[in-house]
Amino acid sequence: MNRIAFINLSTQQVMVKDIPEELLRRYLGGDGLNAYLLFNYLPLDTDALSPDNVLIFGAGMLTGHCDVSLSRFQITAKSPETGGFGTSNAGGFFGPELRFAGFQHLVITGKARRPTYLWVHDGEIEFKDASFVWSKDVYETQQLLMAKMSNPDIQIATIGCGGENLVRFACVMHGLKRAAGRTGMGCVMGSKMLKAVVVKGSQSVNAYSPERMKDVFDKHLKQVTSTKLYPVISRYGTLTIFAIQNEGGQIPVMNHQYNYFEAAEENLEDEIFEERYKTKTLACFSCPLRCSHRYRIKYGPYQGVWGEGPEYYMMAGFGPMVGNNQWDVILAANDLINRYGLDIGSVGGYIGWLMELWQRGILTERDTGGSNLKWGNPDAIMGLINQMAHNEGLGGMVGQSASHAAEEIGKGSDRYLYQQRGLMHECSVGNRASRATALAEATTNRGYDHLRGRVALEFFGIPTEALAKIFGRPIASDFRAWEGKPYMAMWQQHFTTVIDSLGYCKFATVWPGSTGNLTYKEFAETINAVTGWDVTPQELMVTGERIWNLERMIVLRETGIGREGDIPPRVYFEPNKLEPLKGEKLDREEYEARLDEYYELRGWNKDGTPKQETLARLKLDEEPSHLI
Amino acid sequence: MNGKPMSLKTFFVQSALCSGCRLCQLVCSVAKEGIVNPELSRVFVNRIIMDGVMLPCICLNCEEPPCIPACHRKAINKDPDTGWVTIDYERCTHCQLCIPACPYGGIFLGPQKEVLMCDVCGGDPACAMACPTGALRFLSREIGTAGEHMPLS
Repeated sequence: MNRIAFINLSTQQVMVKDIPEELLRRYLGGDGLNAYLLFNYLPLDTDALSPDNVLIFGAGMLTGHCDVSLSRFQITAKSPETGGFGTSNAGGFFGPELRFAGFQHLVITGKARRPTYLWVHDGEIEFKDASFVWSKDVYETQQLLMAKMSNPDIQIATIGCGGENLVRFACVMHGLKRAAGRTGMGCVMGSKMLKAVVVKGSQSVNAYSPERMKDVFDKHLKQVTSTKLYPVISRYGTLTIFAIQNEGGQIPVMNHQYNYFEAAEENLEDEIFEERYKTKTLACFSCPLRCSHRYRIKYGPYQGVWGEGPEYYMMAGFGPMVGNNQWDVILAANDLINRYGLDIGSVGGYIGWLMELWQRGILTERDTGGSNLKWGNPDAIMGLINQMAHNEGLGGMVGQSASHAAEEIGKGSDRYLYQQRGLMHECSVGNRASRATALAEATTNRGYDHLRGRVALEFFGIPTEALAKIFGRPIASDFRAWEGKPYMAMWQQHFTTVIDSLGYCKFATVWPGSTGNLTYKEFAETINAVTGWDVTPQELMVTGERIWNLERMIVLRETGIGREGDIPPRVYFEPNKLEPLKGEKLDREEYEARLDEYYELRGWNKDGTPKQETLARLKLDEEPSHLI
Repeated sequence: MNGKPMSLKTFFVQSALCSGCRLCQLVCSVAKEGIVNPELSRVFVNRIIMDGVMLPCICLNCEEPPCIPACHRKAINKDPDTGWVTIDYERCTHCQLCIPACPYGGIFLGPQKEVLMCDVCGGDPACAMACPTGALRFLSREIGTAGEHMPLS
């Protein structure tokens, strides 16, 4: 059932190929095989909005198989936000359904002549007219498609008007809140006039050893529902992270000016969300963790607004980042963003940036069309989101220009724009006090990325000896100390890459710092039961490293940016202004030295490029190899 | 009690607790077919996505099962000792008359137009064992879960 469909929207031709086993074993699926396909199929010097850009949907190699939390799929293309490596991951039911429909990957090229959606079902792919859903929001689009096909059980990945209007950071939405958010994959869909991909399947997914698979599943289910994390995540989801980050002085406030937001105390709390707004607990396919929630605003100016989510990311990005402490505003913005299909990470970041420009007098009412961008102003927040989605006014300009907006505005505005590789810094993440996490997130290939780099185990004061057991070498217990951290950073990057390639959700793994959760050993158990292979944790670590290096090759080929893209934004080298962790920062010289150490561990040159011998060791020296 | 032993068990559904994860469907297809295919499951979660309503449907082993008289082949039986209602596939022709007869939508049609109905895995149903929220439970008929509508803490 490991097949790829090559779909040309210009010619409406489809070609289906089996994935050679050798390729599966080298790159797995999801993120890994997507990267392989992008590197092999993206023509040189392609503009991200050109029909030649290659948009790849990929279910994880195990997505839809019998294990816990195997719901994830990855979308990959050249990024219109950065011009570099575009990739983003989402959960829900789309990934498994894609597999039940008979495909692991869809490779989409060309451009449709009119709004189109793809109908993918049981090995068939049809091109359908999407005119009736063009300009409809994400919720409406899905309702209309379900009605049109008389089937409420189809799974849909769609864009809202963000993607249609080519907002550089438009995302691809699935359900009400599941989003392949970062790097503008929705913008690529919009540029291809592809409104949605609709999947439904009834094909069976076989395992090499069903008995072993069932045993492995029983064990893993018990494992992930026995951790200390489980009762918390299944009740509050990621919202519970907010208090930890804020009270720990590690949250970005007002565009990274501060690291603690006092106004959030007794306002922005997970328990308040649960009491006042939450109406239902929901989960992705095969996931016992059920971290999603439905909500409804019952009173006040946003009465009647309902939606799904938010995550910690939204809570922080539309809370402290923009100087807001009102749950109502976060929830109303969440609904708006999800309906439009915009990336929370970039939208929150850009609104925070514009508000700081207002604070500093760089922007005035003349620039904003009369709108007052003072911190936390709900009308400004909603107004900018609306402008971005519809390409109007100041927000529209930012949506169309992304990080080049600083050139449009001028007046030194770039000094307050925190981006890496052209990607807006995550609006919910401020890690200048930590070492492994800052290094790992800053050196990720798409831009600063907690989903590849957050090293949660760094923060719990775990004794050095216990860390040595996990990482195989001495690692400093204090998150502010550097010893062993470059290795820890690299380890985590490979680990998250393998997770995204297999299709697991990171919250079922040790990634959030829950040591009882799944790790390489459990991944290998499932892979071997499903495929009959003899994969070891060591092999998977090398697989993660191979994919990581291939992604670096994509970045280098498309942008030529190596070392300079691995340096976090300016604020990371400036001291925190507030307690806790007042005065903490990264030391630039020390960071550069540790970056050298990290490159050395990777077998890379000092300019952030892999050495030839490293590529040869990882069997990457013949890429692009066109094995499919 | 009508003189019935306490051990008689059947399914109880609390849709308020159901997260819609479909682990029940996944493990059912593995238990019954040795493969993953939620469409071959003997339990089905109706996911009414926009309303956020998740409704697990399964054979509830009725006291007077309407599917039994609906079947022209006398292929459906209720075990007098356990109370479980099952299909005898030696007799079943997959004519589908039982499907609309079930008032709970607990009998399903598979991808090959085969009729699928729960057999409680012989008394240890895989679906209820895998349900992480308690939305689908296999309990004594006399106790059940009626009246429980709050999430378990």
